Amino acid sequence: MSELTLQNRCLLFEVIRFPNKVLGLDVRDWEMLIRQARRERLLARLYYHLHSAGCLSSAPESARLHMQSAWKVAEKHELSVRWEVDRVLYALRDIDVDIILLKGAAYLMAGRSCAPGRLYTDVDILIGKDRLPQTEKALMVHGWIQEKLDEYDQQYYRKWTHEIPPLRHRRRNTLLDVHHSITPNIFRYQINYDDLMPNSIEIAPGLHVLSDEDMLLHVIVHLVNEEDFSSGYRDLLDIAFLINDFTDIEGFWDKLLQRAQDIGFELPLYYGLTLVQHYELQEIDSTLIQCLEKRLGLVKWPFRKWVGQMLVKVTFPKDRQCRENGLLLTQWLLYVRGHYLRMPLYLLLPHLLRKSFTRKEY
Amino acid sequence: MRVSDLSKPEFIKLVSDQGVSIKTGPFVVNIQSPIKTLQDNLFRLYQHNHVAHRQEYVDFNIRIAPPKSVRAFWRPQAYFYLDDRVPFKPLPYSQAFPMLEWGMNWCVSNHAHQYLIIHAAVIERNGQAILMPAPPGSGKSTLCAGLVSRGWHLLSDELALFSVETGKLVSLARPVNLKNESIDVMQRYAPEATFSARFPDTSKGTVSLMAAPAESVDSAQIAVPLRHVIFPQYDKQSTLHCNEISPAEGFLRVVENAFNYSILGLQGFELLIKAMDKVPVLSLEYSELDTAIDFFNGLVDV
Amino acid sequence: MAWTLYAGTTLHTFLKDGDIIAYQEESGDTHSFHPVTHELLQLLAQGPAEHSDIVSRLNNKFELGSEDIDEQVTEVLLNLERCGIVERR
Repeated sequence: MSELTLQNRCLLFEVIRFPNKVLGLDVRDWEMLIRQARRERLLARLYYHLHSAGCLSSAPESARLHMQSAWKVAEKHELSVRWEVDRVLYALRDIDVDIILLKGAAYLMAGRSCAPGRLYTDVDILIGKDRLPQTEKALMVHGWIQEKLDEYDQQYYRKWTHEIPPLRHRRRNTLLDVHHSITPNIFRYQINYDDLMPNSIEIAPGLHVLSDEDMLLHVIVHLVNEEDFSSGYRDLLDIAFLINDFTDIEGFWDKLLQRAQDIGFELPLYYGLTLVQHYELQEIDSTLIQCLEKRLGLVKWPFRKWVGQMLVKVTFPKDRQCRENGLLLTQWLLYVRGHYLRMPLYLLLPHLLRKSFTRKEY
Repeated sequence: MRVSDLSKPEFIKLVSDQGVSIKTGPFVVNIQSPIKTLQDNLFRLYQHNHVAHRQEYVDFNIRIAPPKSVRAFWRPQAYFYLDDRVPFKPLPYSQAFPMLEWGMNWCVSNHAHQYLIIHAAVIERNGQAILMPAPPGSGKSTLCAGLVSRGWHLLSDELALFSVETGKLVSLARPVNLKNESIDVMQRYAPEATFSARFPDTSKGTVSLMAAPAESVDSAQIAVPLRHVIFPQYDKQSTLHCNEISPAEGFLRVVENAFNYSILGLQGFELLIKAMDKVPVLSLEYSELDTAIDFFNGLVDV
Repeated sequence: MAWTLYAGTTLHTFLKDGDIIAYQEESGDTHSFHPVTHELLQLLAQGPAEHSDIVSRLNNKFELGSEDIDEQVTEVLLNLERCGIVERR
């Protein structure tokens, strides 16, 4: 074990921030680094990171092969997403509809710096509510079918969230999520297609992504109101990479603040920016954060500061070298909070109970 | 240093403590476990394998152990840990050793995309490799074990590894998985071979493993070109019978048996097209091991 | 109804002993084509073609002569469309 590993809290975290730190690693360190990256589903990203920084040659051959394997998987995922978007557009070409791509697929198609090395589970698209029936119909003609869910989950989806249950393509077995708002109906941060479309960026005929400000706010809102933080660190990196893409664009920060204010997203924005600042992943103007603190009256809300501290814990890599005390409890508390933000209490308790009984047991 | 250079108590201590790092073909696997049957069978079946030295990178850190719960005592289970994660369901404690073998196969087929990996047996003689893709029930493992006991080198009974770089087949030289009747068949056919204990009541029935001979382990670092593809089918009623399969059908049937063809994409397609160029593809029905082995010997001019 | 090769995809074709295997890059699919299908694709490679044109040219080349040739060609075209190899105009 090298001096570097003994000194620092988490090898993966240090290497992502300073790639040339790999130059001092021994064989056991490399094994640990690969293990940590694999656990956070960042092994392909690590490969890309080290390759871009010109540091790959210092890796043991076997470690390089492991990283390269992960990269091949990510390349395949990327190809799949591109094709899926292509097929969706083909299916909808006879309807007059403009799609907004969300999340991972949007980062990829818009060339955002958080895209390389990414793994994707599905494609998320946003459609106007009035277009939903035609869209669903056209997709089903082209081979998409409704995912089978049990009765309870079907009701949950249709009534309480913003989504029709996910669609699965019959041949390709890929998942497509069609939304009309980007947050659940009952969620206080509800915002729908009509609010997002005017500012969106058209990247191809009929294909849009969110504006820079909305894209960043969306990923922040999802992270800070999450229930499941198993990819907390990766989500945090997404935020940092997006900030990196936008920070030098003229007027970006002013527009971001204004937008957060207009749509009531100031609290999540505050959490997101303080997280990035805490971990020193990007330069964030302190006056900006102070401005948000003042507007949110945070002195009066110690609970919110406490939530902020919990978020810090769960967005750090979870390997045993990096793990902090009390992680499991923190994760559970935030899980409950995440659900609370989605459902009223009288529904929350039965839902949580039901979910815990049907959780897979290993 | 090989496993055979260690005394049994030394080996057991290693496996119980920090684990023993064994070279299996191109991979270094560190295996740590407190389970006695696993330790015993590992020692006996891997005698010819090299123990990796400390400076070698460990590809897979594996631990097989009972959980820290009531399932350590009541209907005891064994968990397979790869780097502290549990990739699949636990099995009964008594099946720890076969679980290690299946788990190592899983590790390779999911993390080694420097190879195009086909679910097939591969054996070699006279520098010529024969690929035998086959679904369960075709008798491939028995045939593979039979060939290996009659002078053929074992590359693998389960995973054919085509190097993306060279297009040649790379050897793992790990034990052959036998099940049910074929265990008795092989113990009669190759009484000098080393067999593990029998493990009853697994999902595949009763399972036992036959160690790779020393020559197979020693020649594991030499990659070999593919010369024949044979789809075996054991049928106790039939006489030896072979049919030619068209190149396109042969290609597609091999692809059907691939683990990571879709991940390798165009690279995998081109590799396999090139590797199978001028390679005859046959289906082979047989009922007698000796007759089948003669046929194989004939293919490589023995 | 006119058909054309879909511009958003690339086929890597391999011919051996009359068999045709093709790898489709963007979808990752591997196809095995009947010689008639292969001919259809080569036809479309020259440019868009009307359905009736496709039927008559295939008929001429292979003397297919079957009664439901039209339906068979439609079936092939629909399959190719589902795979993203051809598109309809």
